[in-house]
Amino acid sequence: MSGVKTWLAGGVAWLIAIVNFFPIFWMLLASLKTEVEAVQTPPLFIFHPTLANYRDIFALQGYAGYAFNSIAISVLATLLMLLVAVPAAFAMAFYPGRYTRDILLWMLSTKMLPAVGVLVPIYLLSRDLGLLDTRTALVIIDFLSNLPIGVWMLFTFFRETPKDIIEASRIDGANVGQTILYVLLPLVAPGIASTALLSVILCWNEAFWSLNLTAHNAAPLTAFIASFSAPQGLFWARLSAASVLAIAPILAFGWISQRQLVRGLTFGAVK
Amino acid sequence: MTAVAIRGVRKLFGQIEVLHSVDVEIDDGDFVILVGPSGCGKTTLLRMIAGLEDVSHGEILIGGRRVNDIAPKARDVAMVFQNYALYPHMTVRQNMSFALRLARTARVEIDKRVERAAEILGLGQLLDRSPRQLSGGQRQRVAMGRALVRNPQVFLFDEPLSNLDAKLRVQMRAEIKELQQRLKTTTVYVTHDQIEAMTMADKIVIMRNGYVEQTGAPLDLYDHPANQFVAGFLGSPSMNFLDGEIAEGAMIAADGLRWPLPESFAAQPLSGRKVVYGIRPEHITITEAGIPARVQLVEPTGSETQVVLQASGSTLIAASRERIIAQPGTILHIMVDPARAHLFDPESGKRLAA
Amino acid sequence: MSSVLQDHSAALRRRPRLTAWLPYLLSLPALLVCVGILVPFITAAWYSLQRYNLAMPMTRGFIWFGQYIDLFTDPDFWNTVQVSAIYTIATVGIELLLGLGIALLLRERSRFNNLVSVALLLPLMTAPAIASLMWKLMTNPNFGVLSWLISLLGVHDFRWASDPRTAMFTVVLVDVWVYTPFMMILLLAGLRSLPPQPFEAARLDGVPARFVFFRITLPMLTPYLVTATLFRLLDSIQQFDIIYAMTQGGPGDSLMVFQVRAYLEFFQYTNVGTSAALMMVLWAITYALSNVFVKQWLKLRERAHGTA
Repeated sequence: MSGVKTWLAGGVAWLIAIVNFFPIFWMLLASLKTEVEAVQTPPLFIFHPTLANYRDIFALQGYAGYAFNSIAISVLATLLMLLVAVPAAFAMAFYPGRYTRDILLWMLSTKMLPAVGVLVPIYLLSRDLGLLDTRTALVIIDFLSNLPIGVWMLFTFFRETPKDIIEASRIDGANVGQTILYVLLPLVAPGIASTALLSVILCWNEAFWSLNLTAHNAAPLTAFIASFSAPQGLFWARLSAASVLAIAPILAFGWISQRQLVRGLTFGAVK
Repeated sequence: MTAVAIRGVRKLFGQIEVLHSVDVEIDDGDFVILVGPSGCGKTTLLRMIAGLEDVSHGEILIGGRRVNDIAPKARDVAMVFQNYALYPHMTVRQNMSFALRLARTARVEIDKRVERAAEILGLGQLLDRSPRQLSGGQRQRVAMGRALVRNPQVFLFDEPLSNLDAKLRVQMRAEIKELQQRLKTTTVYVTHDQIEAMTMADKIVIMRNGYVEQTGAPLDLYDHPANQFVAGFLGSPSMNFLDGEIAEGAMIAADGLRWPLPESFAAQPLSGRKVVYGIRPEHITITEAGIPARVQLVEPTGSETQVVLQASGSTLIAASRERIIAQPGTILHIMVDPARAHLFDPESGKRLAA
Repeated sequence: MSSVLQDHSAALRRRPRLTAWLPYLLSLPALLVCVGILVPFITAAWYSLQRYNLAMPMTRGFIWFGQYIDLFTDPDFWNTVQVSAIYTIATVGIELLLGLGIALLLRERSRFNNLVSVALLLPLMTAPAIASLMWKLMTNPNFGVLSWLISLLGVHDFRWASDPRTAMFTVVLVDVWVYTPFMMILLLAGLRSLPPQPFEAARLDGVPARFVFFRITLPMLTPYLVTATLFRLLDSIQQFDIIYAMTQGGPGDSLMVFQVRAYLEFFQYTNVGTSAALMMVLWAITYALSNVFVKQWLKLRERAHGTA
């Protein structure tokens, strides 16, 4: 690649990075303004930042409670998903039957159920089971939503393991359990981590069911945001602060585990 | 004592039979090589000895004990895989000691055996490295070390040298052979390379399409091949073959040239019989007078000269220790050693006995 | 596919008795769950065959496919179809092109490129509903920073999501911002996994860049393109969060995609039957589309594994 081209490519890359980051950045700025400053025309780039909005949210609105719900739901749903998906993916990868491919496709197809379509039945079911506004309901729903992708991705990761190594461990004298524990799991651990990561992110960002099935007790951060859309209009500065607080944890989390995340996204999809 | 016995073994994958009633007897301490072209079933047979494949029919005995239904780990065999199959998340030391740790061997004993194996294979410096950091040859040695520490009844090798470069291969060939002679452990070794088979084996089992073509010591097979396939498989450059007919006490080729027969045949009245005449390159000499042949190509390898010739409608290769200088297109005269000629039946490929 | 699976199973096979049961036992929970998901689905299908309005319970009754006929003769329905189609095609198409472009740009493995590609992950990790809010803030006709920026370029009074003519453009913009990274990551992984030999050969032969791209790169990238498109297609056609957070389907009905419309049918008009019927139609479309794609995908994989 010629010098100018590389320079140009680099410039475009920078541009794209900026475009990507800008909306988040802008919201961050808005969260540090007062309500008046936030809606000023022309928009303010230079101003006196204030943490008043954040203080408000923590103090008055009970951010901690919502955050706790988000964390609890994401973690529990992910653990539950792994508990069910790992054995299933293992079975399908190493003991394929006649129907393995069909089962996989079917699991994928459950992903196609539009959420709104099952909203009514599930809403009514939750109400009848007394699960409205409980974390349990959301954990179950998130778990069900992410199970197909989880199984699919884990299945792909399990199949990646070279069969030589497994045979070697058999000859070395390991039974099935020991092979899984000492050889297989270390090999698939990155794959499991990637799948878990993806699940956590999906659960955290889940808005539809969170809004519809929860009120005060079990509402996670995504539902929390909705409470800022008052009929009088949107309180942008506060809303921005709340949004930042809602996405900051997951962005930080994702940044730290970026490599695993990318690996999970790409492997699960293609190979 | 027979260390490994394979009796009447057949293998089916679904409806397809890949091994047809194979019988092999392997003596204790022998280095036996299963050799043949791709798809002949040699690897499948090896894996059946290991227990990685089931036996469809027949039986396999190790140390006199029938092992058909015994799991690999209980068969007391160790295997070196073609792609080494090292555990990527363990160090060399952990790789080598894995089996012993599973068997709950005493720590002291494990360390002793690992150290010994590492010393024999020159892995002393590498014990704490991970496989990722090793070269191909080093990984191969670790794979061998892993098998070594287990002190098994039988060593199994699955084409271990095919991923190494030529020079390393030659070196490892010698090392493996030496090792086996020192340890005297029964070894079953699979390869498609006939040179490995010739140089390393105490006994060769040549296979093709799921059948055992011939079994025996390397030189036996070389000098007395049972059929045309074995004759052409062993030896490089391979044996020359000519089509022809026996008449007037000689082999008459398509163009009428007379090729001399071994004494035992010359005496017999086999007139009119169609045969395939086989003669090895090193048994063709370039002379002043004899059968005329046109030179196609002269290939000096340094230690010998191989001349590609056209005679009797076929391409022949003659190999000589002397330096031969000839231009392509010129006519040279060749002589063959009649005692070294082989005759094969054109249809069955079987060698004709006198 | 089957041969690879069989190889693995041979590696772990033990005595026959236990092995026969084990796989089914292990998969049982997952299977049960998937069956369980069917229950609400069947319920919804059942509702779609009824005239069922929560506000008028006495009119509830089975009208079988009457619901669907009403739907197909309702101009609002066709508006929904049109809007959904435009949205889906626009978003998936743009994301595909942009994703591919960026992936090509970041193809070389350099520190800078890796950094950039990770930074590009950020939108993907943002909740779509919140992303909508971000853009709502930026595109507010009065104080939005984007409105201000384009006014500098001479474009005044651009009403973004408040104007039926530009609302689609706005939400597509949001969707592209959120999901292009997904495409990019997938295609980048694909690009990096391509064997270098064909490209080196082309370079030696002096093949022009455009030819290399269209005749070598693209065909080899096809499995990844198909996968990425499939996933995004399924997602896009079911899009709810972004549009609802932005305008709840408005202004007017310019953004009434399937799920938003069905949602409003239920929550605003308490029309369970119509809502359910809409969802059945959406499901049918999704199912048909994905069938086509998955068949293609499997075919490509078998072909790839055959030659690999």
